[in-house]
Amino acid sequence: MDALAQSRLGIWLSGTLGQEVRISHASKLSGGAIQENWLVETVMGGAGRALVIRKDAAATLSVSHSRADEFALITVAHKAGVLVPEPLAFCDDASVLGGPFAVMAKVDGVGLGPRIVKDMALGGDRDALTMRLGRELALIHAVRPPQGDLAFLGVPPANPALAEIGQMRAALDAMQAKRPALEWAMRWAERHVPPPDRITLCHRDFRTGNYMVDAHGLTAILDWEFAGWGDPICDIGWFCARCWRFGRGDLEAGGIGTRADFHKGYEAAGGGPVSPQAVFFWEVMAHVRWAVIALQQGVRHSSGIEFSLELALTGRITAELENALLDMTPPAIWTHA
Amino acid sequence: MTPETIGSALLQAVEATLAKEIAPHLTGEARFKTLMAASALRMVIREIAMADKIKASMVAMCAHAGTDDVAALIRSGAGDADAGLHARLLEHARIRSAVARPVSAEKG
Repeated sequence: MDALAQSRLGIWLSGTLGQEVRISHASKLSGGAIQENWLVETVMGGAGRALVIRKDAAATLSVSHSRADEFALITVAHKAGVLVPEPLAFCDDASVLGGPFAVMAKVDGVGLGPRIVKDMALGGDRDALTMRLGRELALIHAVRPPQGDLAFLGVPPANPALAEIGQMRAALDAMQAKRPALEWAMRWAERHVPPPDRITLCHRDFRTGNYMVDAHGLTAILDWEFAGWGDPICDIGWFCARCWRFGRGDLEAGGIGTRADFHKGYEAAGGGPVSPQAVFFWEVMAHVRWAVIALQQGVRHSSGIEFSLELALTGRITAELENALLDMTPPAIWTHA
Repeated sequence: MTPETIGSALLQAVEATLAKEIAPHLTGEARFKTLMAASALRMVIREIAMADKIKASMVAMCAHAGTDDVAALIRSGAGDADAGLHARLLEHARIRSAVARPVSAEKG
């Protein structure tokens, strides 16, 4: 971001936020084909304030909408009381920085899942952190359709569980992937669909690794790009699934705490009672979904779309997930067979 | 010594060179990618060593199902709660998982 762009940004922020904003420094946080993140140090109302700019890079219209959608989701979550980076402004005027961008308050903390699980100096009291995450999830689930600002999410599925199974099968078919173990697990799921719960906003990637903590506790819930309308228990299943415990299988709530504390925080914040059977269903589907995503990542490499050894290796994770799924769904638990 | 054994031994030498001789001199992204490459080679070495078991478990699965398209059979419901099929699926998955596990354990 050159001096001219910083000047334009300062003028735009001043007009949008209604107070003089001076940019003192801007540095690129991460890059990519479709997105840039910038840390922007400002002086606002006489005080220093750090902002994060999330910007589409030389965007197509569809990509531009994704940033706008993400901003809308975080704005709705913020209004609902969820601990997210404060959304400050969205600019769709390409003359400012060359493309649409969102402005959010910078949040400090550590987000890397394995580090959070292993480093007990992070996150503060772990029981309190686990309950707090349950509370945050309940606040997300308090957002119900319809929401005018979230019209881009479309019509909520009539039966989210069956819709999820259908989407996973379609994803496998699109890759021409024949995966008997995944089909076994989905067939079990199809025959053990829980009664439809309420439809709420679901984060759909609510897990250790997608929130940040500092030494005292939670600082932000991140990564909203998969959010949508669905069965709220899917988020609990995703959070508690063994595949997201980062080696701490004994700590069933995200590798950091107990289910009891997580549910306690969830229910105390109005999240409603949690059915263990429904959670188990969604834990099975969490493994299926992660396996399908891993295969898709592998295909990005093997198809030549994007050379990446990391993507290629991610595709190989599927084998372990399939093993876990078969362990979770032995013939003895096919109660309706 | 078969050509395959020679190939595996060469892969082991490459893996050891990357992990023990090159990676210690690197930092950051270069070190991460070098260790990831060594990890991938270890996976290939295990896959070569277990190739016969992988194939045999696949053949056993298909033979039990009576089709080469076991995935389609299961999706149709024809394999519901079939204990014999589950046992063969699990055997195959355990072998494949043993090939991949060290890499997946490293993922963050």
